[in-house]
Amino acid sequence: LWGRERQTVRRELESHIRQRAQRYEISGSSHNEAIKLAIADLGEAREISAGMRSAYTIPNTIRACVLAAALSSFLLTSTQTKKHKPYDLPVAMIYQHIVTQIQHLRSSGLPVKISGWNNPKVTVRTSEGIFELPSQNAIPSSLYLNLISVGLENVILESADQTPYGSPAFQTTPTKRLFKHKIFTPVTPGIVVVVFSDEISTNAPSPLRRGFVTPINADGSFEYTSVSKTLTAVSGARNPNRPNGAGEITVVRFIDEYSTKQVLIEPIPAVVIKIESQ
Amino acid sequence: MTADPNLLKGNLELILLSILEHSEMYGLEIIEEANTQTDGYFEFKEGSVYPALHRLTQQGFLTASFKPSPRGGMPSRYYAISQSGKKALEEKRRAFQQFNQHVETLWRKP
Repeated sequence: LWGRERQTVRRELESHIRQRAQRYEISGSSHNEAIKLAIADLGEAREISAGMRSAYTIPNTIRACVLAAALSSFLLTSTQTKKHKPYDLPVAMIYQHIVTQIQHLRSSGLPVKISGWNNPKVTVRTSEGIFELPSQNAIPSSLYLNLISVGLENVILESADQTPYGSPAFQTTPTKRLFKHKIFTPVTPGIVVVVFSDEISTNAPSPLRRGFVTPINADGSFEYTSVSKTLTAVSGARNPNRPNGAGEITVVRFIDEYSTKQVLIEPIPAVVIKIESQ
Repeated sequence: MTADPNLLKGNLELILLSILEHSEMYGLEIIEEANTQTDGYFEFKEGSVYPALHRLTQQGFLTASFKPSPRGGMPSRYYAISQSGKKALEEKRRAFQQFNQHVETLWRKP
């Protein structure tokens, strides 16, 4: 199924599941449990797919087959416990992981809210407003994002380190203020960098306009080069202990003159978020 | 007591058109309406209702459009009966009544 019809079927069934789940939640089920029940109510994926096939058989047989395939695919991904890369965790467990880790951010003073089911949304409240990860439609593929915070003024999401050189991949926006609701195009295929920040740069076009971080030295320092006056640096290093080379993210924030400088790293908890593509 | 699934299946389109005769509704609302109005006699499965709604839409008996849900959240796809749907409902209703009459005639025979 392609185009408008695919969207229509998907939206309709998704809306149905959420409404059904809402009723279960009202009657006391947890969110995850409610979703499971709602999907169970929907019935067998094959049954619906066969029904849809008959609905679209006449006059266009090809369209019907495509619809059935798309429906089947959608329902199967929704109803089965899916294997995820690289953690091989079902959605609920990833969720749990996020929820557990997010406590670190909350303890730093940032109200952080996670919502959504197989497309987790991250909402973070800062002094400048609420920042939310864009909808699933904006995310092209299965991605790993690291949500990082260095305090009340900055909220930063960055891709996990997946470059062959072990250096972090991040991209910045050439405006004074980093955009709200902004998702940047992939730096390399499969990597999307999302940066949220409410910090207004003084002299530089962006606090993250330019920067380069070398691999972390043995003494725990790293080199940062920047042209901006107010600096917010995000860095990471490849962690071989993590599956598939997910990055160990380290954040430092400092104000400095135009310089190249050695600074100490202050690691903070990083949250690895799996964003599921549909 | 709930309806015989085979009877439901055979008359699904008639039932759906009847439910939508006077007001537009979305899928879950239709299922709940059928259940409530008949004191639980009609228990529809989503797996049969949605394909039937799509079939009726494909046939031009229903029109469908996304509108905001009454309780917020994602928009729902509302179905409304079309003019040709009303005609189809009349025909199906007549056919059902005729069928029913003839069955009853058989029962009255000694």
